[in-house]
Order: sequence, then structure tokens, then C-alpha cells
Amino acid sequence: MNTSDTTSTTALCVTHLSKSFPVKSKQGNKIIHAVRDISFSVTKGECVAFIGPNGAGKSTTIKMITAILYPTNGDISLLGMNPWTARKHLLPRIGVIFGQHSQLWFHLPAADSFRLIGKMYGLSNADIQKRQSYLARLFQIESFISRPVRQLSLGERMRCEIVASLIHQPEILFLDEPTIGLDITAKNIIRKTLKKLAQTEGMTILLTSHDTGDIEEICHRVILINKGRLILDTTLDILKQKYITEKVITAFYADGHKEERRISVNSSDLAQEIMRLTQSGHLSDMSISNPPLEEIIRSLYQRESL
Amino acid sequence: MAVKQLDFWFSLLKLAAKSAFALKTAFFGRIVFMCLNNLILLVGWWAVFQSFNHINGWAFSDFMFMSGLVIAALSLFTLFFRGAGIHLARLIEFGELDPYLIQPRNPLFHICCSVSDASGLGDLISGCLLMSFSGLITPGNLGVIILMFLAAALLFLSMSILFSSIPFYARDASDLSERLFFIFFNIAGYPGCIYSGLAKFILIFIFPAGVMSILPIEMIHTPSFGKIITILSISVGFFGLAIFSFYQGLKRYESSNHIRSKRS
Repeated sequence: MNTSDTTSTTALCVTHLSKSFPVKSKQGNKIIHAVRDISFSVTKGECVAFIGPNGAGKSTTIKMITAILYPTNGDISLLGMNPWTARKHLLPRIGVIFGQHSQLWFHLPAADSFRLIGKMYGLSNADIQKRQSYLARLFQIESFISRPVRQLSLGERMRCEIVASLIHQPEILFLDEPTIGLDITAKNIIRKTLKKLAQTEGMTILLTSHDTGDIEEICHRVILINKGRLILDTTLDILKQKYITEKVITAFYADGHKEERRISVNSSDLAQEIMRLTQSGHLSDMSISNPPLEEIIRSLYQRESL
Repeated sequence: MAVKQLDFWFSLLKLAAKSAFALKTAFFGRIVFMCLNNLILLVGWWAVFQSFNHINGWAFSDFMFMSGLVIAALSLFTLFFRGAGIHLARLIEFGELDPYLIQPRNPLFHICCSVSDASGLGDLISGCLLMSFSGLITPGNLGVIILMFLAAALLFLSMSILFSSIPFYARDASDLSERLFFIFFNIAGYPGCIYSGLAKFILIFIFPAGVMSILPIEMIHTPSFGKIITILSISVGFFGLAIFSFYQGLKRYESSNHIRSKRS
């Protein structure tokens, strides 16, 4: 285990991590390389988005970091420990949320699961109750905390899942698609509350999501992987500055219609384009903005798939 | 620390029981139907023993005791470790062990204790009644009977873990795991007197249903230190093998991204 580069401020250090799966097919045995030689580190308190298209290797990487899967090659240092040899000491200090897997008891109220999970981490009844009340208020789950989980909507259940993962106040939280399939209200509650908890409790967050809203609201740094390789590791601000290739000019007219133009950031036609738009009708408002993050990421995916 | 561990395991068993009781009709239905099922089985074998009086030296009371022991041992497994059966096999097959692997408790026993089946109460009631009415329990052998009962329950748990670990090694094998467990239980339910020679050896040391159906009656009629040690050793040995098999298999575990809920 290489922990030489792991300082007290480093939460996670991944070095030359790889994972391969043998796959049997009619054509013979094949090796699928899900993750190929990935290296990165995360400082304590950082909120990092781990993004990439489907099958890029995001979930596999998180599962190796959280000791669910064995890596084929490479080293991981999580809070200065090897996840495989120091599981017992490490697991009480991390929290993991998989959008697809539930840790709540299906036929029982979520509050029962919270109490059991609290005991699993060795908390006293008083501490569990105090933490549960605090998180229930933040995530707005008080009204349905006593209802059986099978009767909850997806958004309600996911908020309960997140509370279950935060009962023991983890130092690092891994979120694998936490807002998948949720409506905008549930998404907003989750995003704002996670951001608040990261700030107030100094929690480190590593998030995978296809929803750029999650990324913009919670994270300040983005790691992009594709086909198992690390493609980009930068801050959200730099990503926007460096990879924005055009500006969006939107003109709103008095008769209610609007027109949108896209101008290359290197173009000298900006003034002319604005002039053209002002002459097209009775202008009531105009805005010049960056394209949404989703478009930037989509263009990065397309560039990488070529 | 040990108190906190115990507190957790006790809370887990309590929650599993609460979950089983959450659907009350199903809960009581399972208990009643399990009692009826055992009664029908008993009546069938009573008819057989009425025709032959003795089968290879076994009287109906021997069969009653053996059935009671097997059913009561199964009840212990069903009530407290039912997660070890098809539930565990399916979690492995569908790559859904993740929530258990990220929690700071032994994942195998966490899964085993997380499901309780109410039908176990029906088995416990019928098993204890059968043993009591067999007339073979005396104050002198009660301690040995309790040991044999615990060994049989451990054997059910061990074989269940062993069979449930098959999906680690062979894909789409959760049904096979369940069928193997049924075969094991069915063989354990036949009177041990019908086996001899190689079949008896296999059923004691290889596919150890005979540790419940053959050895206990021999122990009751001709008690010996060697027999009880054999029963306990085989149970503990298979338990060790089951744990080894699960953790070796865990290295081959393939997590998935299915969307499912933890049902119990």
C-alpha cells in the first residue's frame, strides 16, 4: 500500500487503479477493462463530481474505493488507510449511498432502520435520536418518517436513504446517482442539504451523477472519466472557462417572441450580432450567457468518444 | 464494546421479527399452516408405522422424536437466520450485497439475521410437542438433547450458507441453492433407520442430513461420549466450511446496478 503521498489533509488518494472482469462469450473468453490506470486525490472537505457516460467506470471506481470490489491493480488510501485491510476501522468513518440499492427495511418505518443503523455504528439511543431529529428536519422527512418504507414515494425514500447514511456523521460521503428519477423538489432538498452539511460538518463528498444540477449545486471540482480512463480533473470554474466555446445571446421582444443566437467566443461578430437582433423588432430585454453545464459536458463526451 | 455488539445483534433480531409481524395475516397464516403441514406429515408416517410396527428397529416414538428434533432445529434457523437461504443466494446472484458490505458489521451474519420467517414459530411449537410426546426425553438426557438440538440448528444454518454461496461460483444458481436445501431437509425428515453402509456414511459425513436423522436416536438408545462429539464436530466442521466458502466466494462477487429494495 502506497501511502507516502497521503497527508493529514488528504481524504482520498487513488494511484494507478485498474479493474478488469473476465467475460465469457460464444467467441471465447474476453477481458473487460472497466477502469484503466486511474490516479487522483481528494482533499478533506472537498466536494468532487465524478462524472462520465454510462459504462465509463464511475460506479466500479467508487465500489473499489469503498471496499466492495477488489481492484485488479493499483492502490487506494482512504483517510490514510487501505480499504481492504482496514475495513473495520474505515467503514465507521464513511457513508455510501447507492441510488439503486436500499438499506432501509421495506415493511418497516424508516425510523426503525435509522435506530438499527445507529446501533450498528455504536451510537447511544440518545445520540441516535438527536442526530435523527436534526437530519429529519434538514431533509424534511418528519411527516413520513413513521410510515412503512414500502408506502413512500421514490423521492421520500431517497431522502430517507441519505439520512440513513448520515446517522453516524461520516467524514466522507460517497453518493452514486442520489437523485436518479426524482422530481425537482426532492432534488433541490437533497442538493441544498448536502451542500449545507458539507459546509457545516466539513464532510468530503464524492458524487457520481448524470444530473448537472447535482454537480453545479454541490461540487466545485469535476473528474471526468470515459471508457475507464481519467480524461479531465479540474475545477468547475475552469471547466466552464476553458471548455465554453460559444456564448448564447437571447433577445426578448415586446410582442412576446424571443430569438437566440450562438456566437463563438473567439468571434469578432458579437457587436454585429447584437445590432442585428436589436433591429429585428421592438426589443424589451437581452441576455448574454454561457451555455448550460450539461451542454459543455455533452460536448466533452462527444469529443472523447471520437 | 461487547455490550454494543450484543445490543446491535439483539436489535437486528428484534427488527427482523417486527418486519415478519408487519404483515399480520401472513404472519399467523404461516404459523397455522406450518403446524398443519407437520401434522399431516406425522399422520402419514403414523399410518406407515401402523402397518409395520417397527422399521429396522425403529418404533413410531423414535420417528416422532427425530421429526421433532429436525423440525425444532429448523425453526431456530427459520426464526433467527432465515436470511441465509434463498435471500442470501439472490443477493449474491443479483449483485446486491453492497449495502451489507459497506456497513461495519460482519456481512454474512448481518444478512443471515436480517430475515425472520414466522413459519418458524409453527415449527417450534410442533417440534417441541413431537419430542415431548415421543416419551424419549428424560431428565438424564435433557442436556444431551439440547446439545443435539443446537448442533442440528447449526447444521441447517451451515448447509444453507453453503448452498447459498453457490451463486458466487455458478451464475443463475439461486434456484439450485434452494432446491439443495429442500433436498437436505427432506432427507433429514426420513427415519434414519432406512440407511446403512455407504449411504449412512455419506449422510453423516458428506451430506450430513444423517447427523439429525440417524445419530440422535442412536445417541438416545445407546449413549456414548464419542457419538455426541461426532455430532458436534460435524456441525462445527460444516459451519467452518460454510463460512470459508462464503468468504472465498465474496472475492468473486460482482456488484450490479439493479434497482431493487431490501425485502425482508
